[in-house]
Amino acid sequence: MSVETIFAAAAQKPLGERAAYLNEACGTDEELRRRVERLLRAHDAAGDFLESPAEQSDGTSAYAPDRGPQTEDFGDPTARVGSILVGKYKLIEEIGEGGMGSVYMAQQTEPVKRAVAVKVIKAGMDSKAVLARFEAERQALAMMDHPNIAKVLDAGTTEGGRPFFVMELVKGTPITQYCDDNKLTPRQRLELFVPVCQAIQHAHQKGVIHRDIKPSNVLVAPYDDRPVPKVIDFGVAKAAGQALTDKTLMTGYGAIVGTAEYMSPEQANLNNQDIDTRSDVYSLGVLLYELLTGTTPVDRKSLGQAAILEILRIVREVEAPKPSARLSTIDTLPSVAANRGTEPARLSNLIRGELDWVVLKALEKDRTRRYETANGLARDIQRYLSDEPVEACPPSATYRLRKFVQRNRGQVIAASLVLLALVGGMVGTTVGLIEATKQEKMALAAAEKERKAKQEAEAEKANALKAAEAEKVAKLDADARREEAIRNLAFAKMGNELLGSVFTGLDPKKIAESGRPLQDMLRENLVKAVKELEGSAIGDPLDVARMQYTLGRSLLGLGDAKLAVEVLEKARATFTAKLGPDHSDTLDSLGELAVGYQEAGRISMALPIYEETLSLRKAKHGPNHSRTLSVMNNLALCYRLSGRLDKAMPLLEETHSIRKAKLGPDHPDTLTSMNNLALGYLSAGQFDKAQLLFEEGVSLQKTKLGPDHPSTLAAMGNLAQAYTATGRVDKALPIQEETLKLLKAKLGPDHPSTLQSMNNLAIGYHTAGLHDKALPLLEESIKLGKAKLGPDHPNTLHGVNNLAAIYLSSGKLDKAVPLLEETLKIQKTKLGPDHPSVITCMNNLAASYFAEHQWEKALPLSEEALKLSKSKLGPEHPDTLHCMNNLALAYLSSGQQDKALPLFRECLILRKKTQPEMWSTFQTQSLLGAALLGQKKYADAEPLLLNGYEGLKAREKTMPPQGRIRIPEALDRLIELYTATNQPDEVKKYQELRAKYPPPKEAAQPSPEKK
Amino acid sequence: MTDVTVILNAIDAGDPHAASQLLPLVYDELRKLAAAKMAGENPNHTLSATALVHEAYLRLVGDQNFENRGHFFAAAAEAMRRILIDRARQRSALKHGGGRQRVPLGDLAQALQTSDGLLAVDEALERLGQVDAGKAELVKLRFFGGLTMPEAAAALGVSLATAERWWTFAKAWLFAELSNSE
Repeated sequence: MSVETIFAAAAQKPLGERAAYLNEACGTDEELRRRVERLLRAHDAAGDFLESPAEQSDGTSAYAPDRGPQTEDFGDPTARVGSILVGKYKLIEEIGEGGMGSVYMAQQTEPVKRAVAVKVIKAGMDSKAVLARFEAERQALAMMDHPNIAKVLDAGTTEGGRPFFVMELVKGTPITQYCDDNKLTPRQRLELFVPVCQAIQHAHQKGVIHRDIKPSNVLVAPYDDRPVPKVIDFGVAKAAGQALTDKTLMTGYGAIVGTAEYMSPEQANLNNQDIDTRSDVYSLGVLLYELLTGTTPVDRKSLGQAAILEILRIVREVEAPKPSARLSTIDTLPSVAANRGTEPARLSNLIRGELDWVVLKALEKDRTRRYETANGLARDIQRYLSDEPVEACPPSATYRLRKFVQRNRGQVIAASLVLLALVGGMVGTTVGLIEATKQEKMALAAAEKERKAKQEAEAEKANALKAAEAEKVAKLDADARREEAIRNLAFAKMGNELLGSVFTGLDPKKIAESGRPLQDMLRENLVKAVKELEGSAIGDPLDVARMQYTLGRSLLGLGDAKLAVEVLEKARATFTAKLGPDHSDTLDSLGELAVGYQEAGRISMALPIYEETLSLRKAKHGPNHSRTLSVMNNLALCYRLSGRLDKAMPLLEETHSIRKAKLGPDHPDTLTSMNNLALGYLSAGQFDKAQLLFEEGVSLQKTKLGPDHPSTLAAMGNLAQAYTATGRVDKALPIQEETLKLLKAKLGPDHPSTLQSMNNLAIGYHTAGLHDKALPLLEESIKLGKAKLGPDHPNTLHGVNNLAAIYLSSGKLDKAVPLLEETLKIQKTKLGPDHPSVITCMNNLAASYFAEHQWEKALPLSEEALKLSKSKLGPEHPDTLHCMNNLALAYLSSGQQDKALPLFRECLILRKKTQPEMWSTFQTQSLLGAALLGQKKYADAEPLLLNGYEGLKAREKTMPPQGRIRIPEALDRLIELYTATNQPDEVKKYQELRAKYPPPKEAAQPSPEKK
Repeated sequence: MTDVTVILNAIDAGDPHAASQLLPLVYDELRKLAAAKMAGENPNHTLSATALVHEAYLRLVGDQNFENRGHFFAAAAEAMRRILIDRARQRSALKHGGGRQRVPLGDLAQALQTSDGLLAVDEALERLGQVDAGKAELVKLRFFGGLTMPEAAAALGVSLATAERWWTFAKAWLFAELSNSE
């Protein structure tokens, strides 16, 4: 039995019985018995010992100490001014206080007499552990010998039990303050900063990481009239146990706020012990940022209001804004600039570009993307100072291209959604819309790309310079390293050249002269780049995959989905093999691949990939992560595209509500979701919901982005579209007018978007019956379009088509017919014989011939249009049904009732099936009745005529004005029926109803539906 | 919610790392509370572990119920121990300029109210921890954390009877250790 068991049993027994028990339990083991008896004696004597919790009274003690004023953290009375630490450091004066403790100037008495700095660590730390950690690093610290490092001389414990450090005394000011006080220019600041990096590098080479680089640890003091920076506090942070759980949080809120700004993302991880030299590189980046802009990347003010855990999250996740961009947003810019001996505009210009890239490279969240060493950072700054191209730029060619495509992609997705609705129109069938949308998208992208091409040309130049420099450096290097450097350089160059080649020859001016669209040439270059990428070996297969990914995205942006899918498949395969199926690069490539398949029209391929990506994202990042949400959004849109609104709507609703809760109602992503959800409602026929959301979206965007932001304007276009869809042209028009006005002011009178908006407004006017306003506007937009885009540009042709249709419907056949004939000819050669726009044009031209009673021309054209539409758009497509209705009507009007009847029947069945509530369905019904009436089948005709009329009448308020003339026509047929069947009461009833409408022009003649 | 309730939630949810984040927060709160008490004008203010720990619990956690509130009390007891020991060290150093005196047997219970007594108990407790960590933790909870026996048993996740048995043993062990009786 153990001591514990015997003791427990014995302690319960009366004193008299214990001896006997012990004899039995311990037997001959005397040591055991001795130990039990010792415990039993203590047990009997202990009494109240420990029974009441520890207490400490103050002042009642017999030994009431003579203490100084009580400080909040129980200041160590053995470490204050006047104290002598471990017999040789006399504290003279307190010179600073920080999160970790107080700093004193002290006099060392032995072995040498000299002034030193003593840092006494605050209470609350395990001093044994602190000293143990310090001892572990002492050797390394002792080996540091650098003019820009303040040496750490000694460490120990005060009599009060606190650890303290003795350092070389530096009488300096924090580097940021020194620079401001002396109004150093950015160049002087950089010159002062270089030795700081070199000092850190020196320490790194000796195996010491600083871990707490911040202005107050980089002091500048004049030596021989020259400012010399000195880094202090080496080894202190490590010894004091900088890990967040331990010290930083413990020293309290202020301490963490004080240092979080300079903390690397990996340091901001709770319990993260994996800190290496690149953490110091990050902090140096923050310091450099502050030296240049006067602020830290993570804003001090925003930190002040956040909870500790939130602050850490910000440090880990929020990307630093470019220093030049930050400068443009701070309101203290004038004084920041003055402190740097310059003016605001010049300061921003100076920093923009290379210095931005240098700083951001040091501040990469992913430490593998930072400068490898502090020296790397120093060298790049020196390059900048000697006007050589910095290293931070070239790798960013890939990066920038990717970023650019990412940025543009977002716009393209958002824009394509909104533009889909922006391009409205009479001729604007669904397919016509998509065509126009694509053109619009490209026009938008082209503007951005022109700018980009220019930038890239500059980058190219920089590349060449850099290559020369790199070769020079390589020569100086040792032979072994030289070889590798050259090889790497060759890879890098090859990669850069490949990406650069995409932009070669893209001089916007020349392109304008050549008359070829920019995107065509861009696309050609991209295709070439894809081929070359396959041919050349570029080192790491992952690098190749990343380039393929980038090229694939660019191709997508340019509308070449087929080739994009090929490249993206390759990138996906490499990522999956090398990084695993749920690596974020793999998931990125999957997501793009799905978009590619979708845009290539292969929805059945896209859907499963989206679904897979979504479930992997959910597992990897959680259901609320922004990446997860964007996949969810895209999946929903793909469902919508495939007509599966039952699947799309819940996803759209979920994405919107998560984003709203997570990001706020006016975050751009939330607004995109809101727009997409509203479009979904629109497709689902829930117009009220759509309209409400669009209205909310417009007002949010107006406040958030401004009334003339492209997004706002696009949202307004959508709202107008929703109003039109609900038959409220009166509400749509003012919005379209405002949109056009703002676009003109924002983008200019002949910008493609402006022209598109003019086109839309003209169609709106026309829909509202305002032909006087519609015609001149459309004519102007075509004139501008011809000049800007060319006479055979699809947008121009589209407008011409619209114009002809308006002429047609306002009876100006003499103008409509030649216009349409010419347009059709151009469109056929330009777009191909069965392009949807061609079909639309054919349909319109047939309607014109019809109006002129040129049956021999109208019938064959109408028949051809129907045939093409059936095969191109499908037998149930609304446009196909338009064609069918019109052809049937042409047969009827040309006296071919035997052909008209079955066609009307078929059309009615299909319309009832696909558009049961549309006014045009009832129009077809009434027309079928008219055909039967012509055959004197009165009994068959009556219900059709009655139903058709009732249906049209019920929709009078919501149908477009040109639809309303169908109502008196339907009434005329009823009157004809009842006259023929001799029912005067009915005749009288419908004549009264008919009297409310204008009298028929000449002979009442049903006219074809125009589109 | 305070950070402490966030952490307690995380512990309840099974996050194995969350508990280690408690100590700094609790320490900070207790340190502030203690400082506020001691800064009062009445020279006879007493730092009572029971009062401080329970006040800290109310301030940081409120009346919410956490399955793993034991983690809080463990952290609080450790924090309180550090605070009291730090203070005791300062005072003791002032009195003796260093080394400690043996505590006379018999006065031990009262001696605990002095700095030296406290430091002696802490050292002995550290030795007990090396022999039997569970019992040392129990003493820490009760003596430095001011918990009652049922509270301490709950915090440790042992039955009340076990806690009583441990207590009897630990108390005798420490008393023997301190009185150095042979």
